[in-house]
Amino acid sequence: MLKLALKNLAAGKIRLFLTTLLIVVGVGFVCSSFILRDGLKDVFANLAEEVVQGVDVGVSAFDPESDPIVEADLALLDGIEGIDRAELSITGEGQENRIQPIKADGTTITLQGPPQLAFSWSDESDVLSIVEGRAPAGPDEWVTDPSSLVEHGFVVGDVYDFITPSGRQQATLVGTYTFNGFIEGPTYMSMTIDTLQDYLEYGDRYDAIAVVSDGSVPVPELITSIESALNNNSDFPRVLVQSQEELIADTTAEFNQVFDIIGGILLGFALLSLFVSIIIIIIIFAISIQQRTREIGLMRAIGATPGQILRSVLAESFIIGLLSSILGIAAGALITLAIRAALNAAGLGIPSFSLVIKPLTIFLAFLVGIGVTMLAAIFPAIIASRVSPITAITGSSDKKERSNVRYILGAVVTCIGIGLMSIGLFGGADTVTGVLVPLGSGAATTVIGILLLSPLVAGPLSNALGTPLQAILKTPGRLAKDNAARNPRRTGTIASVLMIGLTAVSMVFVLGASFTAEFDRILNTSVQGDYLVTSDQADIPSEVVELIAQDDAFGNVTAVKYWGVNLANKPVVREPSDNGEISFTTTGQEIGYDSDLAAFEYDQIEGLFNLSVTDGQLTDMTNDTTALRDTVAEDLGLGIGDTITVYLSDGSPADLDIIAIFEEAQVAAGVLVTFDRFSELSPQQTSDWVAAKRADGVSVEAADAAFDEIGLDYPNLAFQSSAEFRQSFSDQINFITRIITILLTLTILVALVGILATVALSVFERIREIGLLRAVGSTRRQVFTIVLWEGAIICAVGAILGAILGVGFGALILTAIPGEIISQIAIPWVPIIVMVLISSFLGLLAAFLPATWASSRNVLQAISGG
Amino acid sequence: MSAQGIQLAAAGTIEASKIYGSGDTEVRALDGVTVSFHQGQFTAIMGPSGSGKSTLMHCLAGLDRLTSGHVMVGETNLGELSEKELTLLRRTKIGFVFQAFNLIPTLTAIENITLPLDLGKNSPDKELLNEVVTAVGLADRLSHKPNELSGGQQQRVAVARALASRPDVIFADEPTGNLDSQTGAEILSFMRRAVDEFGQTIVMVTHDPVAAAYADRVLFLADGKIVSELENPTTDLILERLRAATNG
Repeated sequence: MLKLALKNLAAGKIRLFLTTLLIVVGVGFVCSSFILRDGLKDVFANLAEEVVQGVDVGVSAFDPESDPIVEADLALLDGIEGIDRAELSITGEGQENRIQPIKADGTTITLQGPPQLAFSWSDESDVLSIVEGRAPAGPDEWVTDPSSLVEHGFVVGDVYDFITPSGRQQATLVGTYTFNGFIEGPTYMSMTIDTLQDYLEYGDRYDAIAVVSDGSVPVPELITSIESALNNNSDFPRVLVQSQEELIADTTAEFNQVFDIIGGILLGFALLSLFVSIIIIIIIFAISIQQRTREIGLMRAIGATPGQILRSVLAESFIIGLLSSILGIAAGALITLAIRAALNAAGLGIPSFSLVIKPLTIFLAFLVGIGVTMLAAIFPAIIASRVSPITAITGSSDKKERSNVRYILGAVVTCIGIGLMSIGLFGGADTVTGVLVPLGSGAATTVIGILLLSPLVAGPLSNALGTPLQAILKTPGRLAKDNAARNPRRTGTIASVLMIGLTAVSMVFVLGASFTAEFDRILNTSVQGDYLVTSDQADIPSEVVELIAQDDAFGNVTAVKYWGVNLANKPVVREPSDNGEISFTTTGQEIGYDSDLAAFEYDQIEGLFNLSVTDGQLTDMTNDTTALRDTVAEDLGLGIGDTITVYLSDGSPADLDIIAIFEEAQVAAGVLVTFDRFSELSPQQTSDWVAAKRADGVSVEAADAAFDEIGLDYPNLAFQSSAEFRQSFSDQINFITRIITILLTLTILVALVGILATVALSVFERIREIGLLRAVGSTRRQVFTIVLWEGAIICAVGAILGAILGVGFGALILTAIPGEIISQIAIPWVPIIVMVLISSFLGLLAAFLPATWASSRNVLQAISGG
Repeated sequence: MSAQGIQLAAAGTIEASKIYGSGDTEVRALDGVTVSFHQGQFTAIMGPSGSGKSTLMHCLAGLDRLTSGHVMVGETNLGELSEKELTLLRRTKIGFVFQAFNLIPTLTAIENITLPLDLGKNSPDKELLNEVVTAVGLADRLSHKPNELSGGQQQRVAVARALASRPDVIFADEPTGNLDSQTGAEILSFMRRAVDEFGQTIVMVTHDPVAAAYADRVLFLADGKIVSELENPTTDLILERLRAATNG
């Protein structure tokens, strides 16, 4: 009896440990999504508060492009009662990364990370203070924050080149400065307001007026009088006047939205891993109930009611849940740090923040921890309460009547999932969201259905996978295979837990590979240029095209520009709405048709871009003609010889004759015009792309060198050969894939803990069998091998199911996305197979502990069940 | 039916002692037992619970180690063997029949029979295997899993497994303990035949005098010592000896 008690205790301890571990990780992950979000929000809220400290009222323009704040506005504020002083400023809002210093090594600060923020220096500000050197006083002087100084190796007193919207500039670093709300990561730069105006090509415009009240008039009244002073002669409000609180809320709202999204994404991944944990805990509880059947039967025999048994199991789970929640909050803090470190290592610049654990986080931790554990324990508890007292004598209930409810439910759920997916695919929804939402929820439902049905395939699949193993490892391989296939319900369930993570990973792989392949296809068919200049900011200056064109190493060269355009028969006007925002609507009956305007150098396009012209000639383009994409022409019911009117946001119309129709979707946008026409229609002067062809008779090496030479002067632009361009795109896709994989890793790790638990508990169950094997001559190593490979087979079953589902879902999603975004499905078999192999290998690791335990048992004890 | 002439020992112990615990709680499960089991002989070990009969068998079979003294199987001194060598010895030189749970549930009858051979990656001696399988009389049930076999059939498979590797000695621990008397008699006859026809050495622990009567020799253990021995036993003789032991 002592032996039995000790065994129960040992098994209980391990069960307790594993269950707690799973809940702690799950709760911790959920907590971390809130801690990360709240921490970041706090950082930026503090920052926003510090930045506007001392500003009582802020004035900004509704439409900075066409009706900005100008110096004359300052004069309009003269004489308003309650104003102590008012100062024009450039806040740099919307201008992040537009001004980039070139470091001593000739490179710019990378754009893939924290932003570079430039704003005007104010001598009168109470917030800004110089740390080293002096404040920027004249033109071409700048100051930066001390941590950027160290990080980027800037030296006070040195002159730096700047890439700015107005071209190349030079400015002397005269000092470093700080304000209380600095956060790590971004690079802060300040210059005099005139310098910044110059660099940003603002002309005589400003971003805002900072007003300091003298306290004699309440702020709301002050706002009203400023509004009336500045909006005087206008049909609609031209400025936005905000109190300090509104300014803070405005600034933080934007950030908070981003953090809510980040937190939401993390929460999604956390819930996924929590779901995995629930399934594992159900299995662990169910096995432990099965093992304790006799004990429970004895309790029933001596008078425990089914209700008491039920409550005792639930109480056990409540205690585990409570304990795990407390540990989970602590784990949440650690996981937050780990996630931040992992994401920063992957290249996302997440600033450091204090670990803020809000009451809501703590409340949710307990809710999730206790709720999930008790939820997981309910089914096993019900099973326990149904144990008959007779089992105390017979040892087992021997009830072989295993209901098929699970399979029926599984079939129903799978059908619902497939139905939802069909609605998404064939429901005829117009929007991408309308397709992807039912498709996504259908996929999730299908996964749950497959999880319920998994035992049906787990047995055969284990056998199939184990057969080669048997050939290699002989008898131990055979026994490993048999053990994995022995209890298909358990194997299927635990394998599908791993399947969930693998489904998500392989789906992401398929999507990533397909987008890369689609990009390749575009490069192979539509973009034929040998060299490309690209920029995230659409800020390629026109001299770049000229420099390339002048170089003998290159043949045809063209810039490419894009702009949103509205096509209609009636003019577009701006109307102020109730909330003071300006909206653009068409007048009259006809609704405008939105499309993208693009401009190329049409006589140079040969050999650079193939726009698949089906009708007409692009080389015939003049300022009064246009070419339409086939779908746009079809939508508008227009063809060659017809005329369209193009309207831009400022309302100016232009009539263009259609002379060509083309099919190309990704590069050419919908409506083509000449550069001259483009610059009349759009305020954008810089280019989005430049493409060039190597001249005939020039070697690749010579052209490469010439291209790189030009690129040296533009460290903020990407000068790439088409191969490099392709590589940088696939790098970006890989970057995203990597981040998602990192977030899914936790789910997979949780699943592996589940596999460890299941294998361990299976080994406890089969300890007599292991004893027998040892007695008739199995070496320790052979027993170890059997248990180890059992784990690997279970993992391989899950990984293969996951890979199949993931590839299927990925393909379905790609089918659902319109062809102009992506038109092909690429399945990266190699990485997916590697993933399956890695998972199976991790299965070996997960089974390592149980295998060690099993192989180190004393033969005699094992054989007697101890 | 005792072996005639020179009797070679298949297994035996010299001054074998096994002590559990120490001080006040010390228990001498075996107390200087010297015994030998002759080749081709069927020996039964009897004794009350706690007499040390199981411990003696476990130590002889290499499942447990002595505190002092020696255990020999064939030419081998088990005390000198490593854990791994002991395992290999069990695989090749020793056969087992337990009271219950003798078979691996996922393997068929024939696979269970050849398990020790398969573990050693040795191909079984076909002729011997055929002979054994025929003797077991389960030719039509060889591809069945243990849960498709009756208790008696399961024990016959277990005996066949023990025989298939032609071990130096087979140890049987209450092999009929879980069977009805008729099925038990079948198993015991089968073991008797194994001794007579194959010259197999068998050591069986039992507390059933009827079972012990199938043996060539019965050893009586009490308090870790051999207290008595009976050649060519019959049920009546055994019962008499047991009664004497209890009364004495």
